[in-house]
Amino acid sequence: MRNDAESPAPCPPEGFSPDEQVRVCAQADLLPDGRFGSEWLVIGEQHLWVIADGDGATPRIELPLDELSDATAQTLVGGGALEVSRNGTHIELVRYTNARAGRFTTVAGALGKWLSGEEAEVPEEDEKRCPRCGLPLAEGTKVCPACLPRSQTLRRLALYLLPAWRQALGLSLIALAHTALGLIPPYLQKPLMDEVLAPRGEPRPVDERVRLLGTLVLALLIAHVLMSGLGAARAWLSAWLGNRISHDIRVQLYRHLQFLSLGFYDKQQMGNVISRVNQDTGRLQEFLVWGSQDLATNLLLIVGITIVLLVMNAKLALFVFLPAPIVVLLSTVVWKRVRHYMHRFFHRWGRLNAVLNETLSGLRVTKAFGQEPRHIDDFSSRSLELAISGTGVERVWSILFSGMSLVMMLGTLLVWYVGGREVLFGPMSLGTLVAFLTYVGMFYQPLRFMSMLLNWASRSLAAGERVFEVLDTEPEVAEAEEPVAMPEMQGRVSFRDVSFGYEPHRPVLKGISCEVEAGEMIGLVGQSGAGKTTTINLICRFYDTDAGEVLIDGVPIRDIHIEDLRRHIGIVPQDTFLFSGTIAENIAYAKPGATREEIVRAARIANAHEFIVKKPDGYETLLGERGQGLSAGEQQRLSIARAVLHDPAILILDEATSQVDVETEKGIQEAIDRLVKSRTTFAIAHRLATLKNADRLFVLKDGEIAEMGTHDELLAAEGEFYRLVQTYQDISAVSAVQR
Amino acid sequence: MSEETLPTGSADEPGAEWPELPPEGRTLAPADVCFRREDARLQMREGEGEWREVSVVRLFPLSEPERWLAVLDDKQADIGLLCDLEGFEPEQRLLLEDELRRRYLTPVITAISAIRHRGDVAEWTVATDRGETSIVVRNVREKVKEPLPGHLTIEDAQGNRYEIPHRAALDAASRRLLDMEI
Ligand SMILES: Nc1ncnc2c1ncn2[C@@H]1O[C@H](COP(=O)(O)OP(=O)(O)OP(=O)(O)O)[C@@H](O)[C@H]1O
Ligand SMILES: [Mg+2]
Repeated sequence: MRNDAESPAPCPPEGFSPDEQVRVCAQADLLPDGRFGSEWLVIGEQHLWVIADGDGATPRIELPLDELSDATAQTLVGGGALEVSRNGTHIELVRYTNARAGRFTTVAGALGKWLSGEEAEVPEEDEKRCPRCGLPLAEGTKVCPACLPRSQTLRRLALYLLPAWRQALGLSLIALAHTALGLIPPYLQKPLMDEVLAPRGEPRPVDERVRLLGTLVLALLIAHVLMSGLGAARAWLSAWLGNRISHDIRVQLYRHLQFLSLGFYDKQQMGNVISRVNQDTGRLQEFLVWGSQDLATNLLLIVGITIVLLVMNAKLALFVFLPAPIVVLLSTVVWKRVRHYMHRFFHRWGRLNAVLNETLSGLRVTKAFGQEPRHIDDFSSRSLELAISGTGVERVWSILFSGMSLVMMLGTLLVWYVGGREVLFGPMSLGTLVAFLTYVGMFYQPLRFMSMLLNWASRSLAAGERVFEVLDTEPEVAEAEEPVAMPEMQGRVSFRDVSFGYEPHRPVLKGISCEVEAGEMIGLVGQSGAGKTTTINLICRFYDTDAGEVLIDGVPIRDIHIEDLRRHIGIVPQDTFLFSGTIAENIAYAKPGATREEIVRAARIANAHEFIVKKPDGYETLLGERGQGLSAGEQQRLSIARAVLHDPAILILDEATSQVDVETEKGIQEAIDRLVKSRTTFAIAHRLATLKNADRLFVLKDGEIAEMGTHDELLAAEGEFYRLVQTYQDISAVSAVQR
Repeated sequence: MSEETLPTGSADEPGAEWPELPPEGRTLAPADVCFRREDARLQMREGEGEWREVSVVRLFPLSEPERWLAVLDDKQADIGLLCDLEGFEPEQRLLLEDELRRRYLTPVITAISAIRHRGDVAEWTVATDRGETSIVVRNVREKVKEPLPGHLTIEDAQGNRYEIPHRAALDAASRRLLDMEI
């Protein structure tokens, strides 16, 4: 929506001047009937108004604040609506799209507080638009790709050449010399014809002609030897430079990706990120190395040949230039079409890859449901699509090439005819004509290239921009300006009125407050989707809170040195992830220097030792990608061992034993109980018996803490927890808990 | 679905072998329910029962925007299904359509008048069922998706989603612009 983009309309709009102080004004981008249009919500000290566009004098809605209650931002699909209650009836104030949802959620929160007599601040609107062109900015970036001058991208790209500037300069010189040398052989053809083979007028003596022949052929030989040498050097140096540059960009990009927050990956498809690392850097390399060279050499060719032609025979040269505009025009027009076909071709190529990747990884499910034929059909139709569009690309290419050759041949034929007449009736020599024709052949090539270069450059610059966009994305979870070092951590965790949502206007946690003492074991329970994992994510600071604070040992988590924070937190995540490598490597993942003794001890605690010793290779059993080769419960136990070895002050177990049998779980439980004595533990489990040793339980419901207390207290209260226990029909858990 | 549900094994009705659906999963017949709008909310009652606040959501928002609707109560719990709007009185039907339009703010693109490129960003000037607008899409090839054959969705830079339900039904000029894009 850019209705309000170019120049932010004044808020409150012109013509509206209330008698009281305005506390906040927000512009909505939908009309009450759902069409696009502007409305303004203005909140003053005693009233609120909704003003329609162009009618500031008479507000569409005017309400006294003291009659209102409950301001809510309703979440609709693709946007929302802000509502208030008045004497039990709901009044819809304004409607807006997702573009404004964040702002109105904030406003609704503040209005709610004002209505209940509390204080609230509405921060200034965060300008998420480029100040220059008004285009919305991507989350987390400050640069607008549209406004970024191309030259700046180019300059940035050129910086990658800087560390190897000697080689780059050398390469340019070699390329120029190589091209310039290429201009010589045709020039030697002229004396070869005119002086040696078919002399005009009085021929020289034969032995002199033979000597000249030898000299000229030798000169040609030298020129070609030099050219071959330079050509080889050029190719080699290009390869060296190109690989070096793409290595630099790739590693820089990868390093940045490692440090970006999880929030970035929530919004991106992994395939796209991967293609940036692979394809875009490759494209950049190609352009940086070949683009600059080709540009220089082709320019040299065009200018050089033009001069030579004009000098040799200005009149004939004009016939050569005649088809030039047609060549340029044709290739520009055709290239546009080709580009379109190429895009589609690569797009389909990507889709085919995606199908291949997904269906082969899900082969087990496919087989189980007998759906092989469907995937074969699907794949074959995608493959056919690719084949068709590949043919399309080739067709356009071939038309382009044949057309171009024809036009060029016309130019050459013209030269043959006009030049031939000159030779027959005029002063022109045969040698001049032959040399001329050779130059003509060399002339159209760079012309054709130059017209494609523009597109090539813009495509490569786009690739560069995509890479830079990632590089310019700052991690949302960033190190504080002055981080607090925490060499030791006790493990006291406090939540103060914490709210958080993965998408800004869809809160998952709503105002969580709690205090956890160091060494306490907390069980987090609640229905699936209640926000348990989300709570954990905030303790690990995978995400930052939208409102409120999380503190560890009294220090706001945002201020803690991230490395220290992560060193003191060990997590067994809900979905186990093992890397390919040996079992021992996986256990020692967080502590690469761990001794054998430590590894075995951790495995023992996690009850993993038993199954590991049964493997022929013991701790050195190689695991496949994602821990292939182990059962789900075995993987989970390795994951626990990994966290145990990390020896954290805060241990987090997110459904850590959900995949193991009850007996094994009991074993792990006992070992962990010994382990958790000295540390704060957060354990999540659906099997409520697992949490029987927890000091306290927090029951989460719809993103709020519904209840807190010990098992017995909660059971006695017959509240949410009691209901959970009942609905899970976990009778044994109840008796175990009550024991 | 409410008739005898013993496994009779009649092949022509696959649903017949299913056990009876629990009450919250039932189909609401147009004759049994009545809707009305109370201030900003939709309310429903069954027969002569209580009026209660409900919302209506689409189960297949892309392929069946007017059928397969679920009625949820104010806690977002399932009350029942409306299979079709056909059987409703015109005035009831209007009410439901209005509620859907209220809830689903995804504009439907009816024509594309221009697509302008600035770097990696494309700016589309489009006509939609909610009026003219221009939308800013970055990384077009990733943001334009085809969840169903011929049905495109476009996500703009601000997280709004636009739809083109029938690509082939666009006018020729719009189609050409679109073809150049994806
Ligand atoms: N990355 C994400 N992006 C958007 N929404 C998410 C994301 N992860 C979780 N959610 C949503 O947040 C809510 C809480 O999820 P959370 O993972 O905290 O649930 P949970 O309590 O751990 O459930 P479970 O017991 O099933 O693991 C869910 O409604 C879920 O759909
Ligand atoms: Mg979870």
